[in-house]
Amino acid sequence: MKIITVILLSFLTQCFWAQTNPKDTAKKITQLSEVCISDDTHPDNASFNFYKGSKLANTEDILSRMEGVSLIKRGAYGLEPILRNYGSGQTNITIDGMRIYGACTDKMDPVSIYVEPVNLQSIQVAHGAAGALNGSTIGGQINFNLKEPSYNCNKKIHGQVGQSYSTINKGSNTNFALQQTLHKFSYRVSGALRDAGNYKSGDNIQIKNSGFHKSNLSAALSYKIDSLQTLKINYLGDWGKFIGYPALPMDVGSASAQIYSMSHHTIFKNKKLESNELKVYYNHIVHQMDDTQRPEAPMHMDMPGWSTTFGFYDNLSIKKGIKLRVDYHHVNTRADMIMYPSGEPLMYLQTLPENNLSNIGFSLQKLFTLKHKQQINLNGRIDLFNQSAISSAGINQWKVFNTDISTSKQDFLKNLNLNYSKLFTGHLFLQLTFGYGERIATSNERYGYYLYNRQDQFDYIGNISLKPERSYQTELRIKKEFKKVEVSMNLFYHLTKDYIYSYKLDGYGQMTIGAFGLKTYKNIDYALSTGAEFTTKFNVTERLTHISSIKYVYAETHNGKPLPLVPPFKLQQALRFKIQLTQIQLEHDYAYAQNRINIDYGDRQTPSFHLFNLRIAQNIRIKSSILQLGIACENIFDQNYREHLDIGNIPRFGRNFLMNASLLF
Amino acid sequence: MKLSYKIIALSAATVLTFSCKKKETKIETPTPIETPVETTTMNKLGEVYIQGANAKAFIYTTSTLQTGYNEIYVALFDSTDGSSLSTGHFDILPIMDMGTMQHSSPVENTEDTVVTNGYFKTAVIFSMAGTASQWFLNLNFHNHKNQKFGAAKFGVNVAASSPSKFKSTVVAADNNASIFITLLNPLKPEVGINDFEIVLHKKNSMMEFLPIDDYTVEIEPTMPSMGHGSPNNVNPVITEKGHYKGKVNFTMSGLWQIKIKLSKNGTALSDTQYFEITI
Ligand SMILES: [Cu+2]
Ligand SMILES: [Cu+2]
Repeated sequence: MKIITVILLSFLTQCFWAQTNPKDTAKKITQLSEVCISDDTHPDNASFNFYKGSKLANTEDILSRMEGVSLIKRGAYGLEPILRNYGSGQTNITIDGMRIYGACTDKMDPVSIYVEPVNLQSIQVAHGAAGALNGSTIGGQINFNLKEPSYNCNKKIHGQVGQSYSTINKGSNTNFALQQTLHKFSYRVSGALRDAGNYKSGDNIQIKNSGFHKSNLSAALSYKIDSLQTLKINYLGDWGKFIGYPALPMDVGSASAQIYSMSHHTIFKNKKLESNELKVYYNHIVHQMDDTQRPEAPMHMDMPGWSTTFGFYDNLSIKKGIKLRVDYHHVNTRADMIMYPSGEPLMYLQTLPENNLSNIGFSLQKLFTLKHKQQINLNGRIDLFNQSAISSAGINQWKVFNTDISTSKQDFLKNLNLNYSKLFTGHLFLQLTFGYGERIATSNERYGYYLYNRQDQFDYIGNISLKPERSYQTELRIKKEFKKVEVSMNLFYHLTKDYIYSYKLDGYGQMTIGAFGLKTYKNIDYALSTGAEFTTKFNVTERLTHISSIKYVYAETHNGKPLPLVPPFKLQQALRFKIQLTQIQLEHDYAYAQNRINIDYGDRQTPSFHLFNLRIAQNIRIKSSILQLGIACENIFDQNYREHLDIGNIPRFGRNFLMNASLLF
Repeated sequence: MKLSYKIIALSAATVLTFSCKKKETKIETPTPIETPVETTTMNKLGEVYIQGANAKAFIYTTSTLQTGYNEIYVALFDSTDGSSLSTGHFDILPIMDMGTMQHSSPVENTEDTVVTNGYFKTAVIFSMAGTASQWFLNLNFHNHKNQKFGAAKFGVNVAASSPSKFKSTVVAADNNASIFITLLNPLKPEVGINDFEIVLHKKNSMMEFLPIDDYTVEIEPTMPSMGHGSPNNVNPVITEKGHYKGKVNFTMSGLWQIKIKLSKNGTALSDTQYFEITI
């Protein structure tokens, strides 16, 4: 473990020197440990640390290798993370704890796209109701922690510039970061520019409309009020242009995200209180889909969408292992469709009628430490939701279904998670979790109006009277450390009552040209989902490490129908060889065929595949800086393959050479 | 014939354009005559003496006259003392004079002999466009106050409604009857649920048109450029005098076509006529 940490750190931070130059000041070592804390906060997640260290990975690569995480692909960009088989409505994806809602009714803009690796400090993943501390959920939570400016006594500017290039799509990625401490202030600015053309899949097939352009800028300012209080202001901006989504009938002409936050941290020198964090935030997402790049489109169409969220949260830590949290957020979302037939008046509708959702939640966590290295962690959360469509065209549209969506809907959600763990002698760790989680229907599921789903080629309308999904969950985690081998295993069984499931509306026509008909959602009796994750880490020698992970999910409805979008059995393994400043990593991914599919939903069978990647990284010390060079060959055997969750039968990247150079100073 | 019809339509359109530019005038007070009670804004078409009945007629419409359904309001006043005439029998007969022949059009005259809100209300369904030289209204009034009867002739301009609110079709399965289909509602179409109303008339002779009460009407709204329809429409059913009422739903704004399917006792009669509606 220690060795891994050292390897990791050496690739992670500008504080590399502290490791290689033990003569450096103690202060620098402190700085190192600060960085170290960030990735150490989730020691469970060995995969994250391991893969992030490879430097050639992007956020999505890292995510896809985390326990129980899979990605839905619609284009070369903007992959949507799903947890086990839980999709975006059932999980919470946050950045620094902030709620951000996609503005795209087609889920083209998962929150993860706003986080560039240059900004990424850590990713926290919690499965099932255990992730409900920051918001009700049944599927879990992914939180991206952005890098923050750190305080150090060294007033020099630290930073990095990097450039990478990938041959498969002539993709370039330029990124930079700067950080400095000035008296009580400390700032960090970073950004990235990414450009890519159409990519080629295995067998040299060009995938049309798969290029993208985007830029990302992040700025953070931290002010130390006194030794106990800190004030932080954060800005994150992301702009995308002509982002291709080959799996969908439309691309994104432009998209932008503006994310602001301000937070106040206090450490108490109090007998009862420990610390408090108060954060207020605001974000505004604009998403403009169009089909101007699609010559085959029957008629030009724009589909803009907006989401505006503001909120706050307050986390209070009290001694004796108690954490209290109160949070509030309010979001306004809307999506339009405008069509331009030639020589006729334009056509307009709101595919997502404008609506407001507000949520206030309270959570309480209490940790009981018992004798014999036993712990009980209890956390509960209650949420109040209020949602209604607001006066606009959307309300009138819905009248044709004899439905008044302007009446506000209230939901009261409860989450409870009980977790017992024991550390046995002989480095055996056991954890048993019982959870109960609830989630409300998404605005799409509630108010969506003829939303076209490419997967099953049906239009969908919402159902205002959907009940919340209620999930009963049990999980077992076993971890055993041997001398050189570390093994961990998760087993889970989730039973979700009132599962929200789609069904065909007979006698109703579609709206989208070429669609097969109309579907809506209803609560079915239950759905169950069970499976396992298995991870091993084998430190063969000090220089050679092998890591592997296995994920498997089995999910079906109450009458035995397979749930849609369930990833098949997957094995991911990597062999890393590290000698001094050189690192060589060979990766192998194997996915079993997925033949348990939901035909109604347009699921397709996916054959199995093997995938091999090779990554080599070399660090070169230049005076007080480090030059990191990386080269990789992904999909070495040029496999023409697709992951089961990929929409529209679009294959993934063929053989790709990736080059990367970064200078850390 | 075709050409002349075009010319008529064109000139009618011109008239329409001009009349549209005119600001809608509030009801004028016919001096020295009492003010009609109704205060809605209406277009005054004009005024005419009804010879023989000692009456002066002030003629109003709710909009400019078009092919299709037109409500016509007539306020009548005693031409000697200016007092409002509230009892009597008033009716209209529209006539189009095409030189070689004359024909009429469906008309809905009220049976009421007492005015409501100061007006005798009637409705005329103009079957084609025409300027004053072709269309005129024969006004007939039986003044119950003095028991006198009189008539007047009043020329009107009728523009072609665009999109058309009037369709005619020959129904082979109903003895080659000439059927007039007139759209009344939605007047102000909007996305969502709309009242739908049509009137059906059968041509009995050049001068006589009878309301049809025994047809079955089905409607089918579609957006032609997308090829989709809308859910939960309510087929119109007969209410009275050829009027069929139902509901039509529009799921989005844009151009819609509402196809009218007519049948009688289970026999399909016509399904080719449609009205265009733009929201
Ligand atoms: Cu989109
Ligand atoms: Cu349409």
